Amino acid sequence: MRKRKLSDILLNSITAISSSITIVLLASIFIFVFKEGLGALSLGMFTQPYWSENYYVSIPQSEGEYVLDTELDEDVYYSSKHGIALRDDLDPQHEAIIVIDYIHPDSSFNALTNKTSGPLEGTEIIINEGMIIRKISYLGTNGVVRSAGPVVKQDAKETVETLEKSDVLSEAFIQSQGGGILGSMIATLYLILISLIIALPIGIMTAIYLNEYAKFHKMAPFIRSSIELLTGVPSIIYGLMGVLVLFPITSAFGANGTSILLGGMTLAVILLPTIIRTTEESLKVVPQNFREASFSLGANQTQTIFKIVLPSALPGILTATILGIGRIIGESAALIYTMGTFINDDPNLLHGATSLAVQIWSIMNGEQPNFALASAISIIILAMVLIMNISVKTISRKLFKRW
Amino acid sequence: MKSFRLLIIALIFGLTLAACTSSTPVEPEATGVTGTINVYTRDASSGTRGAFEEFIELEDKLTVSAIEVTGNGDMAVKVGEDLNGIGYVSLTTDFAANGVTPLTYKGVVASEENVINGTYELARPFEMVTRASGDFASPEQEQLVLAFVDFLLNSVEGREVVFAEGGIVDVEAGTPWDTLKANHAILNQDVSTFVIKTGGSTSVEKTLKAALEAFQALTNVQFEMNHTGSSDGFKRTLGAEKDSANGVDVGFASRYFKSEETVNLGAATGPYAMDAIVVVVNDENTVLSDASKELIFNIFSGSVTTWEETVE
Amino acid sequence: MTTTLIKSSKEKKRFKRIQDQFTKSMFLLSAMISSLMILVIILFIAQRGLTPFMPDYKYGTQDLFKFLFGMVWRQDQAIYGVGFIVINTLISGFAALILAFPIAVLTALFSVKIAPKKVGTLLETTIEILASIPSVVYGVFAVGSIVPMIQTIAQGFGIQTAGGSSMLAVILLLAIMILPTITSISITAIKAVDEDLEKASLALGATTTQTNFKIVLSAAKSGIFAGAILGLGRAFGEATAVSMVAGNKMFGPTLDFFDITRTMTSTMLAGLKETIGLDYDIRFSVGLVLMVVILVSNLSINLLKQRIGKQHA
Repeated sequence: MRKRKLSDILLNSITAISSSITIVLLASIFIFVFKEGLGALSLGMFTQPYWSENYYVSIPQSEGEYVLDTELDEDVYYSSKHGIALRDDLDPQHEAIIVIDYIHPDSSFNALTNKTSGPLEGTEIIINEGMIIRKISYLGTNGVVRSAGPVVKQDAKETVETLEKSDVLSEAFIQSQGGGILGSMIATLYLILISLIIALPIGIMTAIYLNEYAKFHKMAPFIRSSIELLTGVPSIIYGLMGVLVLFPITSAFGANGTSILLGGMTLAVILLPTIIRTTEESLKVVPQNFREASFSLGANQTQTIFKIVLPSALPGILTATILGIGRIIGESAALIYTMGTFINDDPNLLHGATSLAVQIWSIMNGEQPNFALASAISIIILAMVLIMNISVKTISRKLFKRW
Repeated sequence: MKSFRLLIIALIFGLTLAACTSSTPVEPEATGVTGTINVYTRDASSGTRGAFEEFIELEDKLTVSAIEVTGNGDMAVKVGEDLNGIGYVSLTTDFAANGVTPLTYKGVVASEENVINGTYELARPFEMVTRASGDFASPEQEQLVLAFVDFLLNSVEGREVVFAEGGIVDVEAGTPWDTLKANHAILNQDVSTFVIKTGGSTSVEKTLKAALEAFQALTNVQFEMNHTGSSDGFKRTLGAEKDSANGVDVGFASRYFKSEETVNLGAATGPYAMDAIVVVVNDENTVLSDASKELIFNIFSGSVTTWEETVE
Repeated sequence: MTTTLIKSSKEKKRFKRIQDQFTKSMFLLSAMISSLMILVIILFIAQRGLTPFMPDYKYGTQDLFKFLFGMVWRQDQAIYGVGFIVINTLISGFAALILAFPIAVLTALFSVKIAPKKVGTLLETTIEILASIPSVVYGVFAVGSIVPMIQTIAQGFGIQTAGGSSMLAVILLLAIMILPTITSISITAIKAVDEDLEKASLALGATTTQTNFKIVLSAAKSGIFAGAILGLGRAFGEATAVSMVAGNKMFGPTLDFFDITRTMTSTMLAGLKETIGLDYDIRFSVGLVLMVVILVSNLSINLLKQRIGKQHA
């Protein structure tokens, strides 16, 4: 009796320790990601597009002194000669930028002319507070046109000082703020949708075939081994295969380059083994008596599968879906070649875009990896997965109740 | 219920452990570092490594115990965490933020001026190549791409934005864009529906993006950047992938093009900026401050293996 | 009236048979599409992987024997030996599995059977979220937390490391990455165990713990081992994160856990973006070897599963 109790306590404590190790790991990863990334999260990430609007404008002659009549913050520098205030800031990508903080109502910056060649050349253009200054050209002391701003590595204070020393400003290169990742988020959602629409039906039906029809077929164990084999193939190879083998198929649909469609198809192939194996396992667990009872009641195989077997196997299929979603969101190597690394503000199925994980890869592989930004995007990924998990589970629970 | 109590205890234990491990370890006080030199290098196909090894005439004599890192930033981070480490990074790296100190080469400090005037010798080019003449989507596309190339390579405005992002180029020696613009009649039309596609090295992305944005401000043309590595620069303009899903108009490499990359077939080719390579050590390591070609060769080939030996 | 009844039941039977044939062919079609994809991938890798060993290979035919059993891999000297890399990969993969498997299965058991329902669901959801973190982020986490930790531990023992990048770092990283996968699948397998089995065991006088370990786990065996195989596959195939902590040693095999190491995937990935020629093609050969390794390990795990089954029968 006592021996049994001892072994029970031993096993229980080992179980508790294992679970706490898992919890510790979860906690460390979450703490790490949040610690690095929370500071870099900003509203601008969701509201601004990634690519800035680029404007090239000419500045009319300024009228002299523009007296400041409002209060400006600590680190904002005001040029009274030209009626514009600038401050240093960080964009959503954590790069240093100079932002227009305030424009005096009478300032010549309110009457800029668009100098970009094209249909809008010569028209009036409105510049708002919040836009970024890249370069302001001014007439220097010896009559030569010189540049001020980040383009000559000046910060806000230095730029304003340079402007104050000059009477005539000629042109400016101004941008709207960019660095937002909403486009990538939408592209990721499209990607998940396409991959699952392709992989789930084919995967589930293959598992059904293997388990319900061909269970004792000679080739079945061989096919099963090959499926398991594929789970270990590094995803880069799938990417290279996708570009060669699947690209002609997407071309037929009208995509003439990397596209979300191509990325989705490639990912579907990656997901197939996991979905097939997990579904097969949950089909195996459905008791054989269920099927036999159904047959004895006169149902044919089709009815049995769709009305009896599949609903019982639903939890397993759900796990497969959620694991699949996880894999899709986390996949980067295969998508680099099939979906591209171009950050698309307006994702379209037939054009290239980038998923959030690929964007993280690009950031980490650049010349100066930006841990803070990578962690911030990871936080967004975690939030997206959480929302998707909860929705998948709620929807399936409702379906379950009906059955 | 008993198991629930166990769980609470385990949770508290676990969380304290997690809090401990996520804090950085205390760095030991060190003035002179002793012990084995940990040589860090990039992977064998890196442009930075190729240029570095060519200057030091290292070729295939790299010590077999060298540690490979995955990229420029990774190199800075790893050397910054390893007291005994030595490696090489691009000049654009933020040395202080990563905890590394640059060494002078043959007594010359690594700086933009010294690269331009030629006294600092460890420099590698950002090269570009376009598709072959006639191989573009349309003649207008070709003219537009050539206009951009002209802007990037030769104009003051183009060089200015490249320089601001860390590319080393002589801004003063450029030609004003207004002068160059006259040679490209295509810019008199509305080009807002055209898309210039670029690809190749990821090291050039920062400088290239600035140049493309400045060009867009001037001309209203669209662009699409899809960078995956220097070898794709040639492959996607003139090589095996030029007509595939990933084909581009202008390809970039952060190294000299190799002899098998026949770039003279392109409509235009050439370097648009230079980047300096700097040998770095951990900033707590005060043993070395200058390095000669011979010393670097000895360290990286493994003939000199400890920090004490470097000052003998 | 009787004739109409017989006719409709015969019609119903015919309809059911046709329906069956239709669905069967649909399922068969899906299975064939899946098999086709599998075949395409295998052929793709095989074709590219075998070319360097064919006569009249563009860049100089490689010696297959030297490739398979070589202990040095140096791209700059054009020496390509994958032998030691295979050993490294096996060590790292299996070590990660040995670490992660018990923790995963016990955590799954805990969350389904022992923990109060809400805690269990919370744990499950958290683990599922963890399975979706991009591998790059795991790599960043490893470089930021695991690697410095190993550095400190090693210094405590007086062992020199390359800033912490080591075989140990790779193993820990892989164990953390495959933990969620194995746990999730084990949870599903344990949940699917028939309640009657448990009730019968308890009725016979066994304690909950004994029931859990001797009955439930054995009944869920098939699913749990499937999870192990999927997890091991992931461990073997993980490239991006591993490259960040491995160090890519040029010779081997690495038996010292504090020494830097190299796996097949880190070899395939290192500098993939910037390479051409023999160097590019040889990576597919490595991929081919990787697939053989996975095949063999899967077979051994399946054998293990059957042996454990025999003991309990």
